Amino acid sequence: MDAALARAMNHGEPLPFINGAESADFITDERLAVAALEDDRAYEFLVERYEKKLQRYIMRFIGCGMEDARDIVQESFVNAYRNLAGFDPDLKFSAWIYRIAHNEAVSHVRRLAARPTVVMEDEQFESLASELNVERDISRAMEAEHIRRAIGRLDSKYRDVIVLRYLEEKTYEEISDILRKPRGSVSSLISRAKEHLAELIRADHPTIH
Amino acid sequence: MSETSRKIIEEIHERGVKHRSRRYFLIRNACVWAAFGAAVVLGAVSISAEEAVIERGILMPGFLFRDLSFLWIAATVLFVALAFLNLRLTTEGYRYRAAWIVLGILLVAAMLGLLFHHEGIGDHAEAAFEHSSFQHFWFGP
Repeated sequence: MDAALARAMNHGEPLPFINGAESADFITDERLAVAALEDDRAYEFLVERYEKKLQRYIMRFIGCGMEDARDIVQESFVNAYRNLAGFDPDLKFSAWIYRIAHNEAVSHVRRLAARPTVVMEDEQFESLASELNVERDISRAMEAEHIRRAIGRLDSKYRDVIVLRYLEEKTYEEISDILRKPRGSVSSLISRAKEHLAELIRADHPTIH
Repeated sequence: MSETSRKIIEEIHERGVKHRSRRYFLIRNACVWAAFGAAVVLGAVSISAEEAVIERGILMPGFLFRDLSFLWIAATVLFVALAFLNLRLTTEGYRYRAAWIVLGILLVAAMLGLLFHHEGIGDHAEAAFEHSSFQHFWFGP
């Protein structure tokens, strides 16, 4: 923990970045996570940084509504708080908290046997559609809808990596840390996921090549 | 702070959620590594016992195929699997391909097994098994 943070905590002084979220922007997640072990104020900043991102990720991953996503995010942060001493500062905090959220979402789906639908933005659909080579012959609006439905029909192991790679825009290393799989396996999974996705789309539209 | 963030922090305090101690994670990691080490050592004992059996088989033709202890082979497979699972639970174990991990474990167990066989541990293990009640139960009197 750096000297300024340590001094502030030891003397009950305001944390160096306490004046506003803007000043906390320069503090890394990893430093905040270490600080949060001794001061809940640091954890509040982490929650603030990640609650919307995790909510959006969970809604995309399992296709649940806002309320369910909030509940899952809440449980994820409670779990993360409980296990904060187990966080390895050499790992990215983002990968760690996404992993916890991912596991909570999977538990939620198992409890409810939910069938997911997927929410995507246009730029993300473009990036994925161009990789699947199904851009020709059908209108863009139909294409986005077909890709969304097709992602929802993928096996969870393929949907996992497609959502993390193309919707959450995580690197292969980050996906490896989130899903606790070797980087090579992540690469193979993404490759197979794209093949399956393209097959599902073509099965719905035999005219597409 | 947003409404959600505030609710989350309140929930943590209301439920009385506390940080698990650093010691908890150190002990857990130590247990996982100890289980991994034990599995590798036991796998090495199984391999050294197999070497003892094979040696006898070479010296006494027919013995090998009549009495080859598939139990030691099954024990090797079991302990290698346990070692693999424990390694996967470690902080960085997930980063390596399963095939490389299993190969690495087998290599270490085989080398240790050779050492144990040289020290006669394999013979002791096979002798202990031959006189055990499990052997009588499995193979009959």
